[in-house]
Amino acid sequence: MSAVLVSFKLAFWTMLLLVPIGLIVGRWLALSTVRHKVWLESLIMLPLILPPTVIGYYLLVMFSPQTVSGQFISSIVGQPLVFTFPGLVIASVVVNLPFAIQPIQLAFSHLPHELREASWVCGLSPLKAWWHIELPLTWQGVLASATLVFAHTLGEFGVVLMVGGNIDGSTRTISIAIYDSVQAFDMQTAGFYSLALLIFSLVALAVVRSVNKHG
Amino acid sequence: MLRIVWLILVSVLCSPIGNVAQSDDVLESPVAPLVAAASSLRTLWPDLIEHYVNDTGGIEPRVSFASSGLLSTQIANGAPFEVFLSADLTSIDRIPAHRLTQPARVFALGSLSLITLPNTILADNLSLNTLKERLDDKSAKSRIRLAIPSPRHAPYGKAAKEALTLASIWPLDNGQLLAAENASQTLQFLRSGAVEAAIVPHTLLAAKHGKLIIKQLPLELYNLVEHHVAIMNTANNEAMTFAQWILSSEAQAVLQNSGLQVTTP
Repeated sequence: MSAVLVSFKLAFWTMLLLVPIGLIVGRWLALSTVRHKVWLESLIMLPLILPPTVIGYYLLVMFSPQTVSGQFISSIVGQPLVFTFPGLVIASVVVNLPFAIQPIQLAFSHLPHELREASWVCGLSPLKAWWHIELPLTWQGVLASATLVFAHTLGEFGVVLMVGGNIDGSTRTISIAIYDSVQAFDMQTAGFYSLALLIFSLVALAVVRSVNKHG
Repeated sequence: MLRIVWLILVSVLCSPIGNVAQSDDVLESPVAPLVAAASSLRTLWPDLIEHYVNDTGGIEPRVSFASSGLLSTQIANGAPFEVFLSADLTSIDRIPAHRLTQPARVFALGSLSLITLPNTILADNLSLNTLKERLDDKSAKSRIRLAIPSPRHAPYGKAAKEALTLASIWPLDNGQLLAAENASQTLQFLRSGAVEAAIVPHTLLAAKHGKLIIKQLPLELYNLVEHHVAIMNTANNEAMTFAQWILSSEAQAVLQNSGLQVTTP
């Protein structure tokens, strides 16, 4: 069951770190009119297209104590990040960027600009306008973002295997445990984990769809 | 709403950080040695560990199975394993010298078996000769495929390639060979029916895997696979105890029962 705990912990931390990032970047992308914004949007969306092994490879090289960047990171953090839980969280954050940012960007882009102007006219500061006006109107996007990030992290395999390895109690997630159980001819455990992920993913998607429908 | 958000943030930030720190501590704890083991040892592992715990009163190690080449890459890139049970010396030589506490030692020798399922065309007379005949037979060619561990990074795959070369079977035509990621996956390929024959470490066949037809490969066709134990500089006392125990006569008896040849009488 330690794989379940590691998976949920990873999903939780990824969600916790990504939702604020999604709120800042997603809102900025929705409102910004800067030129060449499409390049930044494409960069954020890259994990949707790139094979996880490509992202895993670059993160492995970046974190490895054998590279200059890895030695630099180790000297700051105090330990190599690769094959550790904190390293896994960073990898997971990178992979899930599009799942966090896109729903929030979409929600903010649907907000009429007049609402913001009206709140300013009423004397609200931009921060108060964001907190009292914008956030309550875009909460569906934020919830969809958090749910998608959580569910996608639980099922992530390629990057987790490359950056985290398969260390029991530390980096062995549910999806890695499924792979490991099949290799060990333990189809019962693999079946149990697979069914659990299937049900959870279905429920998560139903939540997102339901929120979008009724929002 | 603000209060709720703060409550959630504080509770979340406190508990998981504690857990993360706890799990990192476990890596350094004397009670949980972290072992990287060649996947050819997967089948015999439960028996081996049961004897280890009974003999020494030690704590069951946490283990990661993969091909020796992959594990070696992970260790070289900072994976926090304390003991490495590799199926070759090359994989240990790739690890930076400062990570190792002492020269690796051979603790067992592994052999290869050709296997098939009872319902295949090879089942009646399984041997390298019949395998070669079937692979060469153009009419039946599409029906015969062979799986071996990948010779690129799995020691048993290299030995299998060696034997197939001497038997004039290697190189195989496109589509006739499936290179599995490791020894366990090779057996999985056969059991799933993806291939008609496979060459696997004999020690993987120690456990029951349903009905298999097994033929050990002639030893003159390849060099026996040398299993080495290497101790990393991060090893705690428990890890050192385990690494030393695997060279003991008690461990050697278990390994021998599981189809490995031992290095001490």
